[in-house]
Amino acid sequence: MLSVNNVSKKFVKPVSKGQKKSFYADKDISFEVKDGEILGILGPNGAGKTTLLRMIAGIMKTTEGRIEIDELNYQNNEIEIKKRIAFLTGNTKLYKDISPYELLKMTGEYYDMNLSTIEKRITELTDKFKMKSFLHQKISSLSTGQTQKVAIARCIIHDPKYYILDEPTSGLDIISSKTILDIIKEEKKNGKCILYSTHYMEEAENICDRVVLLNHGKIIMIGTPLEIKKKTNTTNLRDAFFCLTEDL
Amino acid sequence: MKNIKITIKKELRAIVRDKKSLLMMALTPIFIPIFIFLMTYIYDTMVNSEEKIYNVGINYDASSIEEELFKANNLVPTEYKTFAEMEEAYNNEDIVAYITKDDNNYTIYTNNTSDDGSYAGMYITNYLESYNNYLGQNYLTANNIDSSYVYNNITYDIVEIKGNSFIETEISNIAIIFTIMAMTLSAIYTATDLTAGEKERGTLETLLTYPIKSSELILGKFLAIVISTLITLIISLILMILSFNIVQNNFTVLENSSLNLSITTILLTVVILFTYSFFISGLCISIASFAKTYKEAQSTLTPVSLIICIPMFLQLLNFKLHGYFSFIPILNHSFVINDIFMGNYNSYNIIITALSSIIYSLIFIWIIVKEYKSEKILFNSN
Repeated sequence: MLSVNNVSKKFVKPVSKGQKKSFYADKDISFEVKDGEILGILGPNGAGKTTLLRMIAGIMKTTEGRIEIDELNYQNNEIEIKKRIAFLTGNTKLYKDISPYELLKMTGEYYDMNLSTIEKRITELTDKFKMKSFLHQKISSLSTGQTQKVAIARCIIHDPKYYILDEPTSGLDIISSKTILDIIKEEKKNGKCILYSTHYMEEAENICDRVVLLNHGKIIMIGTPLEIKKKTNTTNLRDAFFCLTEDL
Repeated sequence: MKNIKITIKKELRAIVRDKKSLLMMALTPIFIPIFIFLMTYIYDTMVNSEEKIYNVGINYDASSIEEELFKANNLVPTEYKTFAEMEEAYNNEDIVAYITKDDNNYTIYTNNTSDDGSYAGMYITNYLESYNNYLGQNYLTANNIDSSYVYNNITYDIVEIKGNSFIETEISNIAIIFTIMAMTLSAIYTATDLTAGEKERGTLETLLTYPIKSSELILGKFLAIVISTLITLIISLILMILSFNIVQNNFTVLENSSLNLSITTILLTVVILFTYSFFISGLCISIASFAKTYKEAQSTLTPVSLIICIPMFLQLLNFKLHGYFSFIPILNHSFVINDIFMGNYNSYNIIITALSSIIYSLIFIWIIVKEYKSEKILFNSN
């Protein structure tokens, strides 16, 4: 189980010469994600989704609060937690001068997998994502769809238990988006715990078990899509979001 | 340790596959043989060129002995009837100096601020002194006095002491400065690419999600830069040794010179430059890590490539490494290696240079390991 307890993140930004202003990108965020559950993090640009997911993925520190994964926290078990998670963003950049094979092998090595396991896993993923034709080509020569397949394969090579996905379908065509959504559904069936951030409300409504609606770094509502629609007396999450934010 | 090894492998693969990095690492040392050949050729041409002949004007009839003395002193006299004619010839650059004679009084007209005028003046003085001696000896002989009592009271011989010539020193200076420069450029480019470049390309965020500590990540990058500078060092040394052998065998100016590097010289040089590679890699990575973009890192590191020229200028001023100067990096590396090449090294300076470089490197490593945890460095955020 993944739990986020009263997490806040404060940044300081320069406003004018010599003057700085602090602000919260995320304020007092709490929720839990159970095994086999997809939790959607929804909100407009600047709502604090990316910062929140970066903190959960361990690449940013929380200013306040605590994140626990399988009852482990980043203060004491950073490496162990990172071995259990996968982090994928819509604008994940890959090394251009290496091939998908080299990237997957290197990633496997970082995750402390032995060579035979890495080779076996690369074969599985190559078949799964139909990457055989471009497995040894330089990543710089691949199409956007092929690159995204490589990015996903890189992300799941170590068979993680937790998926932290930050707008993974952003800017992709429907075929590439479908590949990602299919993986998410499949991994949910395998009992994986998935955090899925998007600003496509319809997409979230289709695949998420529960959603967290974020605005200006704060949770404005949390629940299943049905509960949220019922509470806001709306027919879809988009209208629910507008209904909840018009009073703010 | 395993993660550091994986990072080194990853970074070295990136360096080798990036044409620009490869160019900086492997091709900059090519300037070493080019400059060694060029400088040796220039010195060889200067030393072996035929002595220059100077046209001078005179307003008197030169005797046959004077004609011989003119010839012996590289002077070609032309007789002019008037002073004005000589002046005109001088202004037209037909002659570089002129001499007038009034009874036994000679006057030399020359411009000592020009090369030709100064040399011509020196040769004219020699000719007149020799002629004066000749006349003195003739007078003594005519009066039945042995002239050797007056002119040959002392005798002297010149014995050549073996040592480093100015040319050897200059050529080895250039070779050392260019080796240090090649290593520095290699470190600057690689450090920029592996830190600010990775940040700008957006691959750093992906790397940070792997189960690797930021300290392991930055140490891996640091060691990859060290390896790239050591590759540059090896290429530079090979080219330097080959070039020294070729110029020694092909240019008379370096015959019998001590540019053939002994094993001890090579080993001591490698030790000093090995510590330099740690120093410069640490300096460059700690500066480049703070840069937000590739361009910013390059701008910040440009002064480093200029600082390495300072020892070259100080060597021209005959500066000697002593006291606290032995602790100044780059300066001490350059001077110590030069001393090693010339065979008159000081063990104290070698130890101080090597130790201080290691201490500086450890300070840089401590800074980058500490700072690389900061989100300000990793994400350019506050």
